[in-house]
Amino acid sequence: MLIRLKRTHKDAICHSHGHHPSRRAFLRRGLAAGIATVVFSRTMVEDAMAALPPSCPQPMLAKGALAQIFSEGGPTMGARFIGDDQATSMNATMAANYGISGQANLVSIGNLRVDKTSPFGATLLQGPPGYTSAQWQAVLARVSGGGHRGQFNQDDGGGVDTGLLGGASPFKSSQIGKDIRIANSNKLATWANGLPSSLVKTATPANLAKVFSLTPAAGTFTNSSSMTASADAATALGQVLTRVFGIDKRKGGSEVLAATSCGFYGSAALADPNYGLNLFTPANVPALAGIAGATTSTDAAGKTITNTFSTQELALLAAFYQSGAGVAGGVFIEYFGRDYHGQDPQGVIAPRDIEEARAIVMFLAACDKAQSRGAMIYLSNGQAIAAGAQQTANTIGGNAVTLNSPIADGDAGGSYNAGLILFYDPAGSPPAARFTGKVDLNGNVKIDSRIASSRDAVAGLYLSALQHIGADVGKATAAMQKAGIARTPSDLMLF
Amino acid sequence: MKRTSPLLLAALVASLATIAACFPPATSDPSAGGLPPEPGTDLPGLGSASAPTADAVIGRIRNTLIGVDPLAGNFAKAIAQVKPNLPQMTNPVQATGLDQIPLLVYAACTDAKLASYNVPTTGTISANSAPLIAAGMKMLDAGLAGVASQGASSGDFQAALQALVSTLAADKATTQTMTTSFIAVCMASTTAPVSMVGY
Repeated sequence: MLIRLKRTHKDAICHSHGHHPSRRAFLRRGLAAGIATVVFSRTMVEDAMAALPPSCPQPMLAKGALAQIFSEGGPTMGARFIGDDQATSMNATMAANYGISGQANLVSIGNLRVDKTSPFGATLLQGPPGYTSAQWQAVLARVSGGGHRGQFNQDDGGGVDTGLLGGASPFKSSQIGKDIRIANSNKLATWANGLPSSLVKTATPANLAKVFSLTPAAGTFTNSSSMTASADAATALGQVLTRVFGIDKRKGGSEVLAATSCGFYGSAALADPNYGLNLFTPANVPALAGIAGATTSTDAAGKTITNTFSTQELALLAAFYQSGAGVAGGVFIEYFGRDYHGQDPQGVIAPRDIEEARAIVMFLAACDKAQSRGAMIYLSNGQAIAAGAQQTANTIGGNAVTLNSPIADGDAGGSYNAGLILFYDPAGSPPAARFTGKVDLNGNVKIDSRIASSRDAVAGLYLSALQHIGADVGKATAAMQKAGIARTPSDLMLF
Repeated sequence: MKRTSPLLLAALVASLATIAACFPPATSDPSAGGLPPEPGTDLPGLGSASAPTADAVIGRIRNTLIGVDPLAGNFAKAIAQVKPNLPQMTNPVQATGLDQIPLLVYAACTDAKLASYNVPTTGTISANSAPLIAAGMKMLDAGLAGVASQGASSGDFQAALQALVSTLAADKATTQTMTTSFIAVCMASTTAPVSMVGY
């Protein structure tokens, strides 16, 4: 309905000031606004929104190593790292259940203890090739540890898919913007699904280089600038496709576009045919070149001993280093066949404990060479109870040693396990991390009431790791909460 | 009696159109029967996009490019290396490995022959701008069932490819050849329909 009012001279006066527009002016403005609302909202605004380029994480060298070892099965976790509280109350029963020789052989690594005669402890104390004993002791002095202890694991494959593997990118910024996964085949933590990563089945420098290289090598086919120009064009084509197919209005559509587009831009670095090899061949990494070819180290008495890198260890050393230097996100390793009960201590248990301890040695050496903070998460989905230890003859990096290896007796996933974490600080001030869960005199554990499940434990370990290396804890917390982790970070974190 | 001017009537119509635009159209549900909606009409229940899984990626690349074979050449070698890192699930929020698609596309593009797209192997990029863009449009059409050249956005697709070719022709830092230019066009024109359509 239109209400007409007779115009007077006052209308003209007021109109000149613009306070009370005339009916005609009011309608004229309404007409303009109406047309603008209908036309511009349906074309220009939407087109402008669709034309926005994807928001790619800025590549940056942010120092800080993050890694995880997932020991799949049920190893004698009690014969690996031990907390101060466990060490203090260590008795013959507890030592036998864990598979270590006893309290007398426990030595400190920060606030942690290891049995110096066990395969695990002896390997950690021997250190990597190219280090003197004194140099390695200095590295170990910059380590601290903590963990969520509990009986929330299962054994014999049980619980293997409860999300015990996490991720670091993009919470941890890096140059390549993705994590490195080695032999990961079980389910990730819910919050880690979809995080960018590259996977290799076996850790060798060549395998790692391949996933960061082009096939065929760039040479006559492409180069960095043509690939960047191609990525620009693909992004522009993606924006046209967004408009044509309405992708931005569909759940996940923008994520698919951004992941592809950002990955394309990231591929430009691979146009250098030596890019991958230079990243993952320690001899080609200036900071690692000094130890890459080493074949000896010294023991505590100053005696030179054989100590050589395996191919796997060289790959891990380089991968951990690139994480520490900020080139890569995190490095996540899954070791299979760790269901220890009934296995031969000399032929199976000791070599596998040595393999995992050597991986930890490579991690610490990489942090040392990168001069970066580091956090390594170390857990299993099971635990084997032991019937003491027995003497075995093994080699650590080619060095022949006599060890006290665990006699894994039976499954004990419901008695003891620990989601452990190591912290490294090149300045020598690693955080004073805590252990949760109460240990009884048999070595069994009652979980902390605030850590109700392995899901909470894994989340807490990752938040602690990210906090230590200066990554984006807030972003990770938001992702975890979205995935259903209800506990507050202060409940979950270890410091 | 004072007459209502045409301007006022137009304003009234426009205002009513504005108000009407705020409400969903009564016939937008295709299941309600009747004529199909006009192109561009928002349909309820569009739902989620999908990420292409590894096999879908390989199949789409093969469909998009002339003469590439997932069982032979660089394409086959790259599949062996990259396939485990390609998306394993269609959930677009959880899928990982989309960043690997351009790497696989690159390998396939090195298997494609310039002659298959009437692109000369010699000459300057500027002089061969038209065949390069035509090659890109042909690849887009193969991956998009002809939408690139026949749809209303055809000019936009061509403009994106023209910008790419112009950039390559003007590259002072690196000497671009017809081969590098063809592969750049091929990578853009294949990666987009393989992984940026949402499906």
